[in-house]
Amino acid sequence: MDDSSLLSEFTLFLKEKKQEGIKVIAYLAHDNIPEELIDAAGFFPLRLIFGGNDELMDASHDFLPPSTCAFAQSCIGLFSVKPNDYKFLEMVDYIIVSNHCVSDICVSEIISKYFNIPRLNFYVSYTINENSLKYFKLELQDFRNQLEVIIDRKISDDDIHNSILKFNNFKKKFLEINELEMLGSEKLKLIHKSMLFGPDFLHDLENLIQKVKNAPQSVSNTSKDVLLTGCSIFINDNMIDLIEEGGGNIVFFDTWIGNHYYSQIIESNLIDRENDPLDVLVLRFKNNIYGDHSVPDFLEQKVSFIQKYFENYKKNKGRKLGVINHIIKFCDHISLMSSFLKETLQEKGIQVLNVERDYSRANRGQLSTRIEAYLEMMK
Amino acid sequence: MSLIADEIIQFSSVLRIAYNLLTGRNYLKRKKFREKEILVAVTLPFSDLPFAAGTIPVFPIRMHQFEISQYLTYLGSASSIFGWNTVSNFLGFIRNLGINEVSKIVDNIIEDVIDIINKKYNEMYDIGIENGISSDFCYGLKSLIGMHVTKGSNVNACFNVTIRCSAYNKYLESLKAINQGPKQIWVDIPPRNIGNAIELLTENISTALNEFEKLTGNNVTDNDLRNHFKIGNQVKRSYKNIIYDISASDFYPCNPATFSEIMALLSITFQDYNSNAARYRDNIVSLEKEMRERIRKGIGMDVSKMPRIFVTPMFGGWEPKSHEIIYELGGRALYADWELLKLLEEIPTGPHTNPSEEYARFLMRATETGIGCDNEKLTDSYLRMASDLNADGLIFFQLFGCHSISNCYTMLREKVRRELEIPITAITFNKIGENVEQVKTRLGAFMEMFK
Amino acid sequence: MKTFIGIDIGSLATKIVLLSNGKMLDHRTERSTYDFKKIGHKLFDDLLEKNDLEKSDVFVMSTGYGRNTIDIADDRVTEITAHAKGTQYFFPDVHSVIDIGGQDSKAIVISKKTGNVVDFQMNDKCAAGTGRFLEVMAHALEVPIDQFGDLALRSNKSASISSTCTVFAESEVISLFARGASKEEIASGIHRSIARRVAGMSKRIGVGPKLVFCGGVAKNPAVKKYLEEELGYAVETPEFPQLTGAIGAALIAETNNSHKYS
Repeated sequence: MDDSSLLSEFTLFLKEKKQEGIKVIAYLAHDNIPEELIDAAGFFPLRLIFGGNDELMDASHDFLPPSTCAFAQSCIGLFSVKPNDYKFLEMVDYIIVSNHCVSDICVSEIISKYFNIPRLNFYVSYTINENSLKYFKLELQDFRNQLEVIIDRKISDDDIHNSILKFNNFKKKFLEINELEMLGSEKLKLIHKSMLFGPDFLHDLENLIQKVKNAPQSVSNTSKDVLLTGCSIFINDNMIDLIEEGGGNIVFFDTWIGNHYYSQIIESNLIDRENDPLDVLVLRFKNNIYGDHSVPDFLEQKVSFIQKYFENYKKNKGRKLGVINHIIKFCDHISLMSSFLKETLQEKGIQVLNVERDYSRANRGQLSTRIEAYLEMMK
Repeated sequence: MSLIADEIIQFSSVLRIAYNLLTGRNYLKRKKFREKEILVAVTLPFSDLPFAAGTIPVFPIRMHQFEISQYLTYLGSASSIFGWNTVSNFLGFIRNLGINEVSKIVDNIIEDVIDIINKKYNEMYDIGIENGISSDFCYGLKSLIGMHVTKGSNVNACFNVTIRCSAYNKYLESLKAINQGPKQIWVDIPPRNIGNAIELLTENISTALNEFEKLTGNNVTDNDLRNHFKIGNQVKRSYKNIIYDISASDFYPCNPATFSEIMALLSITFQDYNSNAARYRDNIVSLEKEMRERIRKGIGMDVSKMPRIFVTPMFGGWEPKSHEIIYELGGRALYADWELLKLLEEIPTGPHTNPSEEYARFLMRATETGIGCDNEKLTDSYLRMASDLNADGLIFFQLFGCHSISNCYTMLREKVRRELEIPITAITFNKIGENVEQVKTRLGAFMEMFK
Repeated sequence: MKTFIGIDIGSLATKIVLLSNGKMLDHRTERSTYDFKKIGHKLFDDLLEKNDLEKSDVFVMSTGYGRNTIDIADDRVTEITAHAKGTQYFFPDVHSVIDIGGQDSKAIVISKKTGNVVDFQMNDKCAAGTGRFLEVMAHALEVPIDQFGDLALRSNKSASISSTCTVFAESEVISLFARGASKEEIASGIHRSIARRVAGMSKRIGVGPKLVFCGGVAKNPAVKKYLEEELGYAVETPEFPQLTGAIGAALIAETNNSHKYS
């Protein structure tokens, strides 16, 4: 899947933002970062959702050993090499150091320190309970302070409420992408564009979704339906091509850029302008039950979700559904839980392929064999 | 014959600590089945709350049978009649008589205590991989999974404390998938000390104590906590004295390789105090006394000409032959992981303190300034430790599959060169005993810098 | 009557099988070399000629590393599915398969009810645990590869090989030999090492009896023996252990396509 046109479009988009005086805050940290606060402060939240390649991973080895998350390596590589498609990274004004995972901490710290990008801090507790929600609010307050220092003014509660509504509405629309009848790679393009441009893309997203609903794309009935879980397939990553070439079609993205993102939708009646907007953001964090950062219920929640989806899919579509657990090499969260996830789901009659890989081109043949063999099993 | 057997005989406290480590299985079986005590699995030195709650914390590998425990059992039996000092002196006497069979048994008892433990660690590592943990993770995690797969069902509970290593936190989550039986008791340490984070952590600790109370059926009072912390403080005091007063000094009570072996033993056993805090306290206090006594009498070795090589980290896995190699090359290896991570800080126990809150402060300090919430803080910890030890060089064990600590090496190397101006090198490590020749080559090159 | 050809293009050897009505009629094997397409064509043409067949008389199913590139194939299937099917030709009640080839190894679990693959695990990233490992070590000890297994079995002691990397293991072997370990002990250690590694990988997916050991390395009696010791039960080896992939491909071709030609 070639994403060059998306990236050049995004470069122009970001240039316009910069010309309007809007600063850019980049982050790796998946699903708990309060992008609403960033937006309310007048910044643009840039999610680093870019896949890598051999060159980018190699470039990171000046800073990290090769036995580091391949995605993390590639992020460093992007800032180090700044390939043509990624010149927009030169427009990044700040980077958030957060603890989604330990590679997140390392990489964002390295990017800040060695590529001279000032850092902002935002850390999240590891459990989701009453006290960790209180702690989350402390971090939100601290983050708000950090932003206010930069812009030299207070961020009003009203501004935050407006941003919350904006992102919440955006996520409600985003949710519909996963349900569309279209080829997985096309769906993924839509997801990528949405995550990259954010609520600015809402209007176009609505139109595109409507277009597909009016004229659903047909997918070959010999292709095998697959739910993708685990690590996301990021921009410029050919993983989805391998799945489709092998005869598979991803019908649902149970990943950060997918299910996790919109699972944090807040009921409209709970967004009350009378109350502290930070409490609404705490609620969003509380709703993030599928995020892999959290312990100790991540595996249970994931299994439960996949099982429910599998059963509903079988009932509603009458078709078999495979599950591919995409593991980016050295990903702490997904890799460590992968054998337990597979075992638990297989006990429930759901066949799972754990496919582990980095962004190296050399692995293509090996990956194809595994994916094809798995899809052959589904016959 | 082990390099260090000769020396270890003279330290009866070391014999006791080694004995208690290696015969843990029998002790724990007695505690569980006869005395109906509650066993709680712990990893890293977070055994304080289980102890205070009246349970028995155990680092899971200690539930295994170790190869030489038969001989150690005899030794233990003898010592229960005659006392350890007598037995230790007797062993030394017998060895010196050169009676072959007895010497052989003595050698077998003492031989390579750390090697025996390491063999078991490697076994656990293999079992961990066989049972599904990806080879992408560090030695420590693989062995821990192996330990829980094999013996985890023997405990009543697992005490889980979150730290900034995400792989470690997920490993803790996986414990309930490995063994459904044991109760999982969690303490989530807030990543930073902002706002009322200490208050929140104190509440988390209280919640964990409630869970322990449900397990034991007994209340855990403030005095229970204070009493245990007092014992813990005594342990930590002696441990720190050994690190700062003795390991960094110019005269050792034994040869440096033996000394490093003792420090390695302390590093392993500090995690659960060999499941008996008072006994461990007595042993380590006694060890400090024995060392000081030998130094006072001039028994030992002048090490003033031997460069101090700070070797770290080791708790996730390290090549144990390193200190022998360093000694053979003219240096002395210093181990001080727990002090570096601020886990040897004493906890205030005054009558007007809130012990849960004091423990919260202790954990927060370790999180913020020990392991640190980021690599900037962690590398500062290494620098501080190297400086406090007057280290002449630093060897950093870069574990394959470690994504938290091992990834700070680039930053650390820069800081060390800039601020301490001492040689530093990284040794990659995957499994104990693998590629010892490579380690020798690297250490050889490194130690030549001190000639 | 249509006949079916299965061609397994491995990185070291290409195997081809002619099959009809579920029975193997003929077969060929040759080293793949860098030009495996040429070898594939050569074996194919030879098989047709010797059996008095034209291209139009046969349906060709390819499998293995080169399955997507060989142009004579009418369809393709992965070696996982092919081996699972192929072992059932020799052992209809097979539960699991371990295949150790020249440059990869795999473990497959088969459903006793349907005969389909239910799980699999592959090692195709690392030479240790493959035939290549044995080749490198045999070369280092200057022992012909076809005698290596027998040499290992002559020893009742195994030298410990701790390196997991083929390159470092080679250095380790040389240094063991220099320190006085016998060739037999070292050979035994090498064979144990490969058996341990493959058994470890296989146990992760729950292999069990009846287990069939196939691939070129299955002809090595020492690997078989040590594999049985690691697994704790006896394993079967087919009469033609290298051909299970090609046989499986041909059988699948027949199952999927015979209705078109009956």
